[in-house]
Amino acid sequence: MMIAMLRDVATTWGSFYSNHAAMRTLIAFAHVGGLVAAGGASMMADREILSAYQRREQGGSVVLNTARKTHRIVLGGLTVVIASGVLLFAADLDTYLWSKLFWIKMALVVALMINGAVLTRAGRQAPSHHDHSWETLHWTAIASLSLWFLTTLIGTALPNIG
Amino acid sequence: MIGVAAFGFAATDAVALPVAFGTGTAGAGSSEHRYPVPDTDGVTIDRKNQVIVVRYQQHLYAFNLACPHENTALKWLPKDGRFQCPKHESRYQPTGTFIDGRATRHMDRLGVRLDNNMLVVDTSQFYRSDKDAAAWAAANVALTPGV
Repeated sequence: MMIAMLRDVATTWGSFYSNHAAMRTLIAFAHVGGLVAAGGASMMADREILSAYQRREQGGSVVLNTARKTHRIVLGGLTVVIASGVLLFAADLDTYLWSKLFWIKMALVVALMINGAVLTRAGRQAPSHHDHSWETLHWTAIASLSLWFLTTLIGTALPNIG
Repeated sequence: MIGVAAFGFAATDAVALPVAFGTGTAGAGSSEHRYPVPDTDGVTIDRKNQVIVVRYQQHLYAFNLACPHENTALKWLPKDGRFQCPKHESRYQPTGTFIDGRATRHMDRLGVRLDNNMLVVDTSQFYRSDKDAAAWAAANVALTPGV
C-alpha cells in the first residue's frame, strides 16, 4: 500500500515535471550547479593536498585549513545534488529503477561520500599523526579526483545509454 | 499566465491509460515477439525487446521504444495519456503521432498481426512515417467490437 502510494506520488510528480519546462530547467540547474560547486571545491582542495604532499609540506596547516573550509561547501553542494537527484529520479522512476548505469552512479556517489569522510578524518589527524595521515590524504585525494570525474562520466552517459 | 496549452498540449486532450511492464515471448522468427492482447486500453512496455505495445480506441499498435529524435527510451505519462521523451521532451499521442518537440516524425511503428488471440510484433518490419507514410499508417490491428 505504501509502495502504491509512493508510486502514485511519483506519477503525479512525473506529469507535473514533464509539463513544466521552467521546473525542468530549475531542477537540472540545481543538479548541475550543485555538482559544479561541490565537485569544483573538492577538486581544488584535492589539488592543494596533492601539491603539498609532493612538496613534502606535510606540516602545511594552511592546506589543511583550506580543506576543512572546503568540506562545508562540498557538503552543501552535495545536499543540493542529492535533493535535485531525488526529484529527477521520481520524475522517471520506471526508467531509473531498471537502469544499471543509474545504480553504478549511485554506488559511485556513496564511494565518493565514504572517501570524503576518510579524507576529512585524515585531515583532522594530520597534525598529530603526521606521515600516516598524509599518506591517507594523498591517496584519498587521488580517489576523490577520480571518483568525481567517473561520477560525471556515468551521469553524462545516463540519458544517452540508459 | 502561461497554461499547459501554451506548451502545445491541452489538458482536455489527455486520456488516462494505465502502463504495464512485461516481456514478449519469442515468436516463430527471431524478430517476432508475442504479447497477450490487452483487455482494455493501455500501454505495455517491453524494455528487453525495446517494444511498446498500445491498445487504444479498438486498435493495437507496436512501437520502437526509442524516440525517433535521438534514440532515448520514451516514457509513458499515465496521467497525461501521452508518450514523452525524457531527453528533449518530444511528445506523442498514444497512436505514436507526433505532437511537438524536437523530433521530426511520428514514433516508429513495428509490424503487427493477430495470431490465436496473441499480438505478434515483428521488429524486422520497421515503419518510419517520413519514409513510408502509408505503411506507417497501416501498421496496426483493428479489433472487432467486443474483443
